Amino acid sequence: MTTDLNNASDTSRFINLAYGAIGRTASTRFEPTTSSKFLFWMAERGETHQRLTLEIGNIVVARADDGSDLTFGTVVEMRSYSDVDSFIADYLSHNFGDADIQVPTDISEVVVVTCNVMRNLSGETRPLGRSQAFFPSRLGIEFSYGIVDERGESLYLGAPIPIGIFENGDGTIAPISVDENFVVGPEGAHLNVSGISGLASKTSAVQFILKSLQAHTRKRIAIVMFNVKSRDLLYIDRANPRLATEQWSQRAYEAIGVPMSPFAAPRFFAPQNPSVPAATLSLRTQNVEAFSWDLTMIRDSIPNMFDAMDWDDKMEGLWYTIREQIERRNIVAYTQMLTFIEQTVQNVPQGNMWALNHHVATWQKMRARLQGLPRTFRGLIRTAGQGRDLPWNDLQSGSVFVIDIQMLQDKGKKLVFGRAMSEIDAMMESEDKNLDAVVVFVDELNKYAPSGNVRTPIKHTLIDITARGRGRGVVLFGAEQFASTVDREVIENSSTYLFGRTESNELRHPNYTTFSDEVKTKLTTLPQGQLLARFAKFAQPIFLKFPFPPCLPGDQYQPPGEA
Amino acid sequence: MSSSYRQSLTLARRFVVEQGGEIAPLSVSEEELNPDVQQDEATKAYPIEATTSPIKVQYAYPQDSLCSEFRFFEDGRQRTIQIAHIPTEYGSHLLMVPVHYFVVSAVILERVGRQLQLWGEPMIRKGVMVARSLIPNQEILAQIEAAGLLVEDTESKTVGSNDYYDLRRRALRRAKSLRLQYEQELISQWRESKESEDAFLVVDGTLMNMRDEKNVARCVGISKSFGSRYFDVTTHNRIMRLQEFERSWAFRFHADTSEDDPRLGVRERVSWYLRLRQGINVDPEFGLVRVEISKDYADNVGEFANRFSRSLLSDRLPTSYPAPRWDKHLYPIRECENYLGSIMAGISTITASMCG
Repeated sequence: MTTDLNNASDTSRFINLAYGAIGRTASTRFEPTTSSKFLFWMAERGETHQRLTLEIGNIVVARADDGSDLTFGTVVEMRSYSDVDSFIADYLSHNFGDADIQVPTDISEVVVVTCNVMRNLSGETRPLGRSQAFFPSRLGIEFSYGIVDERGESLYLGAPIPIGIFENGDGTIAPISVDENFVVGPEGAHLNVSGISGLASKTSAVQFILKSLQAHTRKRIAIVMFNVKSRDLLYIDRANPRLATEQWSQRAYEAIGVPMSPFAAPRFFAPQNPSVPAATLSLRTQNVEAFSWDLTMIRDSIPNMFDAMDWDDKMEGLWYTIREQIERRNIVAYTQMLTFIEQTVQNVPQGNMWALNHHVATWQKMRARLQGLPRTFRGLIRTAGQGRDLPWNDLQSGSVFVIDIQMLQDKGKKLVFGRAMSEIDAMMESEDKNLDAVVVFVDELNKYAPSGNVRTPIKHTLIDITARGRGRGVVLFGAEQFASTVDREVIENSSTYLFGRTESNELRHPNYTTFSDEVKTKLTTLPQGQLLARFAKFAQPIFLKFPFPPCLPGDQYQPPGEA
Repeated sequence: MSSSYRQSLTLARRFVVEQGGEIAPLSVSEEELNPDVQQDEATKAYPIEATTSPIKVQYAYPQDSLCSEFRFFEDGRQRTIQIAHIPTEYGSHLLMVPVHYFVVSAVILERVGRQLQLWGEPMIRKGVMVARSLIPNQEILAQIEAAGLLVEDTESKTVGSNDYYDLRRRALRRAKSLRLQYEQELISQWRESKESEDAFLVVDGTLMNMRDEKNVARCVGISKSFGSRYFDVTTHNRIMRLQEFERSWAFRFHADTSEDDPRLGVRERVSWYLRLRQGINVDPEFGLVRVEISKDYADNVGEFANRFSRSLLSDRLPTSYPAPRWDKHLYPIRECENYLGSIMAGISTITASMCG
């Protein structure tokens, strides 16, 4: 079925006719309509001249007077004009500067709205002619973003994954979905969310989207979340009590078909507490599985655990000597490795400064650094006995792992995250994998993939995964305060990008140049629960609302006895 | 360009071409070339109140700044542009018959609260003006009229010649006549409407041109330019020296006997001057308007003059700056002009359509 453009009842499916026209497009000598932009003046409503509830980010549809087309646009700028030529004119109108004066006739004012063209029904790229502007219907909204075709049927090859609710100026709400194939591969992948901290928006949004992904995906997907601060993700197995009373959120969950329940059967992991082996380094006390790595598990990671300044050619050469001993199973435990170094140094004959072709000073430096690693990476390195790695092979469709690393120092966090990404990547490369994708969510992404020329192993891994991971199902959901602090390649490889409230300084960064000044202004004051979403298949970004997360936010957790 | 303009301009062009005329639009309107033709004022006045001193209007600023009783405002506009000429043989002479495209319009704005909005339907007419009998092919003229082109005759039926210049001047006068006619129609509609009960209509310019006394009785005319001195120099100087919030004595434009009035009472109006605002280093007429009302109010003219002056002082704000004569141009009247300007085809549209 194709839409008959000359049939008013046919095109009316895309328009909220009940609300009425909200303005008329105009193309002037100095501000012409183009194929990518149109302008309309905003109508007033009723005898009270009530202003419409139109705002930046709303979607409008322009219906050509000759019925030749419907053009959808998003509001990127609103300017209020009066017929006052200058400030001096207004000054005179107030009796030469009397600010208290009331005048019997209000100065004529008009609000001119600039819209970026998103899509049109004819599919032709051309400036629109004289048109009436309306709010679109829900079908119109979904059509404008290329989510559905004229019949309202999905245009996505993958499952539509709702990521939020769009609420237009007339109150029409529409769930906004992204294409699963662009979220977890293979066409595109990765999601990034930025915004200032303290609004609980980023984590809440990601939790909601992950729940939505679980509910709507047609693929076999597992989720791995890293809890990097406080109790953020430690209670995702508990229901969010606010949802019981918050009606908008309840309606939102219902509208988008996502169960309003916490994550089912997640497993929690944390480094083993070296002081109390039965406990973990986690703020969550129950049902947390410990992990720690013995020497055989982390031998490949040890070079990355050193400061870059300490790791030179001599140290690297010596490490190969030690590593050979480990591979030959002459050394199996961390303390054994330290003992081996100690003995090697002690056995050097007096007057000789070399042992196994390495200078004694290098040996001593290696010993000192290796002795310090268990403290730096507290809880991660098991110096004696057998370690217990994270059970990556247990991941299956529907699995949710939460790895609590918030008690670790930055180096420890990087080690855990880097190892996890490498392990998952390796697992997803194997041919007998039982998953289509593993989604890894980590906050404070800037710590792992900072912008600039800093080259670290973990950053290299992340760039590689975001560039090529979509093909093998390794998907990164990252969050950070400022997108400018994250490596450009990691950001640009994300098919879905969410912006929360953002500081004006940050908005000067090239990442935001595509946004109009007014969209940027709105971003600086964006309320909690709203984000600006940019998706690879959307012609324009969209302001979305999302409901309260389905699970208990960590900061609202009250330990037993304190409730 | 709206479809009705497109049709009208297309027909006008077709008319000229099919009559063997030459398309040669001027880039200025006749109104711009001959602004004086629109003036129409009386020459003599007779005081009703004492002329010895100005009268202070009871208007307290700023407390009274919202006291205007006026809710309705009217203005009309005309645009007459020579678009072509048709050479035609007249006896042994070759005449150049000018063809004008005209647009005349009138509107009433109503103030609801503090917002202006359209009252009723604005009047707008457009078409061509030409000396009908001089058109070579009458059959084509009839066809084009039947197709929807309004054709107004500029030929003199009584006195005057039909040369090129006379026909041009007559086109301008005919446009004015049409504008006044449509303004009168609109004002009559307003007067007979329920909404207008007990209300007065503020009209831009003199009421001298109004022939319907029922309409005049409900209108307040505001003249911004004055070309005549009605009193002796000393008395007239009192008008020129009026202070802000002062009005002149009321006067009428003909004597009690009709012997002095060559137009037999059609200009019989009651009037007074009012100083809306004052400035430094400004001309003597800065902020000075002349107000006209019907002769029906002559008996208690002082009461009406004070009442309407008070409202006009309230309506002096907001100003229409930087419009020409902004010092005396009421803002709602300027909005009438702006509205009419927006619905009338511009000169560039008209001339470009002819060339196209």
